[in-house]
Amino acid sequence: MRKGELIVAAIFIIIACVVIGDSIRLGFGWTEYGPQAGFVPFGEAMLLLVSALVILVAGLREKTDKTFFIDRRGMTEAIKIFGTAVLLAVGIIYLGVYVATIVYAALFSRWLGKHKWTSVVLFTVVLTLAIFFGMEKGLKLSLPKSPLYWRGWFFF
Amino acid sequence: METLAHLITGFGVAFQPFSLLMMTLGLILGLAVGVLPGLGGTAGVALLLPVTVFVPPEVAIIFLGAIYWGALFGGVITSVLFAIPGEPWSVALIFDGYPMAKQGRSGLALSAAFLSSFVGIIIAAIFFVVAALPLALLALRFGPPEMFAIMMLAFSTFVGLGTGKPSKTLVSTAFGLILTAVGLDIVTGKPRLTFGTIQWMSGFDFVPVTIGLFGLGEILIDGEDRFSFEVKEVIMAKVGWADIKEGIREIWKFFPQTVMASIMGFIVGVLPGTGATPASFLGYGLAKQYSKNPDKYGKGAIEGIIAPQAAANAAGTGSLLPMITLGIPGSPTAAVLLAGLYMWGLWPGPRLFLEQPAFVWGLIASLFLAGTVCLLICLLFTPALAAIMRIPWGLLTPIIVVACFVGSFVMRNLFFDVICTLIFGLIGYIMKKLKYPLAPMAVALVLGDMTEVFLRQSLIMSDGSFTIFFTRPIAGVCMTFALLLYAFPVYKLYREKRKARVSIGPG
Repeated sequence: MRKGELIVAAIFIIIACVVIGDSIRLGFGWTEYGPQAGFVPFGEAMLLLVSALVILVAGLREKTDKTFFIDRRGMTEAIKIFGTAVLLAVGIIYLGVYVATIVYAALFSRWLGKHKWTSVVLFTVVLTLAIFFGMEKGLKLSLPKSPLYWRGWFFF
Repeated sequence: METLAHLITGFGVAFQPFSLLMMTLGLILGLAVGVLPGLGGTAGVALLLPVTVFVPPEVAIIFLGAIYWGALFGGVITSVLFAIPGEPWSVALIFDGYPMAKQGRSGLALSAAFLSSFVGIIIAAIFFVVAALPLALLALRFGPPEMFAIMMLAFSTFVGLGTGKPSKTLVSTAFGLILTAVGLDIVTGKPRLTFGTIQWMSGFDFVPVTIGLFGLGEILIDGEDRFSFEVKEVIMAKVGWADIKEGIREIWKFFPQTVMASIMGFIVGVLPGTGATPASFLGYGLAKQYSKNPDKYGKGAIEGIIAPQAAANAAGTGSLLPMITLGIPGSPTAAVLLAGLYMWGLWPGPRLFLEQPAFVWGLIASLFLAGTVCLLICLLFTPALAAIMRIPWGLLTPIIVVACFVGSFVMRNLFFDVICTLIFGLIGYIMKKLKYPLAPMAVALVLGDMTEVFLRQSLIMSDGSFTIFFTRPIAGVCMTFALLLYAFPVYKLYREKRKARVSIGPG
């Protein structure tokens, strides 16, 4: 996992530098009113920087492990799960929770869960309706709705 | 005996029908969360935090606490029956629990595990009752320097006693702290780390980030191994009367060990950096070391079940003590509960005891109540709980993922939080793969703002001098311990290098 280690350590170092930069902008010194706004983030970023550097150096010195990150099969699974989650998140924003859930649940249970179509349809319908009645009617929480709703065509 | 009077008031609160209902609901949800490998206790509590806005705080904390205890109990079932840890703190249970199940003694294994969990909670609850008020009153003497020192101590326990490499622990902690700095500065009102965007001005909310890290992140990790989650053989999940009676007999036989494990677990739980998981391993390890027949461990020794369970449950209970008296969470799940307190507008510490005794003592009373009810539910409904495992992964996972996003959204009604959960799911996954500990980050997220406020207040009090943390006695003691713990890994490294040199040296 050496390459992954190095990349992540480098990312943390970059984050630390960004925070230090912003702290300089805010001022990280002492005024008569106490520490400036950038004082504490500066300290935190220094801690991050030093620790990440330690990890980076340790990672560079270790020459044994050659695997990049994880085995391919595991990684493909994780990518699939994350990819569908991205679709769901974006869907929630643009299509509303309910339509997004329908698409996601169907997609996931069919493509990744490899379930029969009857199970997929049943599952999707039950889940979406459960969320709808539980949240909107039960807890009276309004969740984002779809364009269909806003045009008055459908109840979600 | 003021404490006793308070405790009785607490039982009055806990015995209200609505409280009992929410407690039982919480226990069942917690058990389900404990059984399911894809959802951890921490994420489960975080997911249900938004729901608690609708109930009064004293019921809400009982509800969330019940989820936690349910999860503490629930991990037992899958560990014993399927060798799959439903929770990180039930891993140690597999060592002897699963062999026992394979030998056909699953009923006894389960009953012993449940009973020792019960004992662990009750003993921890007794210590809790005794220590709560004195500790809260001690906190009355705490000013900003003392509070800051305690928070330093909290972070230092992760570095000194935690499992991750110190450098990675520090990265986690620092990253979590930086995340809390995003947004408007509390004191000066200037926008920090917002890079000009409006969305970032409200900063990161604890719940979406935690749901992402612990919920979605866990799903991604489990997704890799999901092919090994197929349940291989079905072991009988019933707990009969005979099992219960024999379980009681075994606990009685090993009662001193059980009590010791519980006390040790309680102390471990109270320490900020350590919770139920390290307590369970410590319980197992110590029991094996001081046992009369250490060779039986790993092959189905019943002590191998009793010790870790009692310790883990005592630790989980103990982790609430510093949370409620000092505002320092004793475990990541306690951190989520602490976030809940802030959400309901409550401040942990002596003021909470004085102004909201119903809340505090209702919670403490529910420790005893929840332990008892959970024990009963487990003993009676184990087959039903085990059946939860049968829900296919392809259906369970989308339910959890949708719940994660919906839960994050309803906190602040911001799409930002949904994206937050998504991104932190990825971050949590990567960090876990690379062995960056997540618990310090969660604690940093909860405590970050407060830590900064206390630091700045202290420095203003001292006109910029850091010596204030050492000249004041309580702060001085805490800071010294903190520094020792921070230095501990360096010391360990030095000792290892010396040993290596000595063994290579002569000859």
